[in-house]
Amino acid sequence: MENLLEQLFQQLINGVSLGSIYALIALGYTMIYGIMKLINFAHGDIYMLGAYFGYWAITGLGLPFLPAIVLAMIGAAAVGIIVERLAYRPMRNAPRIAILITAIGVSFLLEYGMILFVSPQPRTFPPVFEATVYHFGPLVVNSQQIIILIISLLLMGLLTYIVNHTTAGKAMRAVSFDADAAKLMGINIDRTIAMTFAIGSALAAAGGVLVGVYYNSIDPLMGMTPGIKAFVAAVLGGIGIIPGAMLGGIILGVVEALVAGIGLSTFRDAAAFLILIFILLYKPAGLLGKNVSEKV
Amino acid sequence: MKSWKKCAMMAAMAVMMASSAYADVKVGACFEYTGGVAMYGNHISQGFELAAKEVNAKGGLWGSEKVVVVKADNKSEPGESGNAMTKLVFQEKVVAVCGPATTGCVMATAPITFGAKVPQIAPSATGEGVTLQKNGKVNPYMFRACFIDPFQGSVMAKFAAENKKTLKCAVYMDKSSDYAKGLAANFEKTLKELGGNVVANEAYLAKDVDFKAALTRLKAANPEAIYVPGYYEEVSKIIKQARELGITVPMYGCDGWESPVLAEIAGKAALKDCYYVSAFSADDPDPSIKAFMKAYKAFKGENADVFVQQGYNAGKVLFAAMEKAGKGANSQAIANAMAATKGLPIAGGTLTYDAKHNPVMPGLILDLSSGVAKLVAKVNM
Repeated sequence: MENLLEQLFQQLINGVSLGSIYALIALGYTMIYGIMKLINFAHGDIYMLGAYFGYWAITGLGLPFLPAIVLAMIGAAAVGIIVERLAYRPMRNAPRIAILITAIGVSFLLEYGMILFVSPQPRTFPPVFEATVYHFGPLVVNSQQIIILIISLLLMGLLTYIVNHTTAGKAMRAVSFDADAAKLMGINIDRTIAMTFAIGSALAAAGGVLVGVYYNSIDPLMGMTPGIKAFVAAVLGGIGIIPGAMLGGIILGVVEALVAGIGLSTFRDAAAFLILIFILLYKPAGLLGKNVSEKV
Repeated sequence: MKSWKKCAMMAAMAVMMASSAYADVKVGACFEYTGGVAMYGNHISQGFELAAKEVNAKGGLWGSEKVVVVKADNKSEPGESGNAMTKLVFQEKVVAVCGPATTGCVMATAPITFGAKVPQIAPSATGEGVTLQKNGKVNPYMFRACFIDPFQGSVMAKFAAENKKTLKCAVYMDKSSDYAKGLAANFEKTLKELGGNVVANEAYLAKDVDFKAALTRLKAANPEAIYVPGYYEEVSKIIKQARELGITVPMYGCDGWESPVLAEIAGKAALKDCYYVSAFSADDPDPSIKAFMKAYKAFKGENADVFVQQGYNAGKVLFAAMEKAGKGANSQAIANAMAATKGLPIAGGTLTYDAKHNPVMPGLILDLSSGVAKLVAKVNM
């Protein structure tokens, strides 16, 4: 019994550290969906690019961890703005399905473009700080897990502040609420959307660098599965709702760890997608979403 | 206009004559040039090309024809392997093919070469069923240049039970790969025969990155060692995360661990007490290995590994059989000559095919504790 309890707590620790990464990526998904109703399938690949930017900042420029993560965030933000400008802005008035397909196209372009430039081989992420292992009785926590959680929480706090207490955040909320009305009030929609892409991409990049440090390896297709999982997390919490993405990410990570913990580790991904199916069936607005009936 | 036509005709005739005087013989190389296991594919292919280059340097096959290697990329996917193989067999019309590297991809291409009756040598496909047809009979056109899964799994179990005295083992396998499943089954069988037992079973899927949940379960089962059949990309992370969770018991593996990337990702400290089975070791004192290492160094400027050796040996077997079958021999004759291979000198010893087209050779146990693989034992079953 005690052994089972120990295992349960260890699995919770494993789950929260995995979930905080999903949450960081899910935040970008949710922000972009909230503002332009677009599921940006290229988001997982921005996360991959962020990991590579971090890798280059550390190995190429010899930067320490924190400046490298900031640089990676700036680089990914720039890519996010470019992608929005070149791929999504020309499609602003196209049917939603067309933009969705564009997003999938951008995703493939980034994945296979990176394979072309950096080869498909996984790369070893440089060890920027030693992983100290802490033992709490029988439980094992890694310093990297703690750092991932702290950085994730800090970034989420910063994001909440930006969205709720700054002029730019106010503009984002306005555009999300009613783009046309916002335009009439003198809000520059293009700039606000670009800003959203920049922030969302920067968060994904932070996730990418953290994952690079944590798993010690990055490759051009590393964004595929976490991208889809983060999408599930965003839907689970309520797509378009920022605290929902955070909650959804953590829940998803914990569920995956628990499913693996009862001996069904190969069904871990299936569990994530089962959650997606059930949420879409029974609570399509997500855990934190309110059901709003749409006027026809 | 007329003179232009004449010119063109003469040129065409010249080309035709030239090609008949210096005919080339095309052999296919269908490999994982990109994708998850691209390193395997590229290295094996380079070994195969080295063997072809050596044949050409001696004047080609039958003293006159140059071997031309036609490459096709299968992107490390079974589906793409079928496409690549179809292109080689029907479009390029190769007389024989080498590849792919992994069992899954080879299985996807076997029906194509079987249907077209084109001999195929899979240098590193260790799956037991590779050289067999669906009905269990030997596939007359399929060969390999490596030992098979039962052998590899059994070698590791024997090492675990007799050299390391770890009889209570756990198995953590890549469930998405036939290769890993075959190894796990045979490891368990041999370990039980030697008085041991498998105390816990867990599985993962290719491309997983987080293994801590399953490792936490394995840790709770208290095994004396963990057997992890799988490929280096995931295994490196498994070893790293296992050590982070405080799992210090020996970890055993298979030739899918073979890659410098494994040590880079896992980190040297995590590799203490990690062993795997291979058919090749650069510290092997055998003179044929030394000569091969030198030739490859001159060819590509780097040190050969087990994959280069397997590709090279596959080329040795194939070209020796083609030479023996004679000029213009049909694919059936080449396949028969391959099946009759006996005591053929290869890098690392000699190769003889058994009735199921599986080569007979010893298994090496390599120790990763120092960060680089070191030969610690040779196991004969």
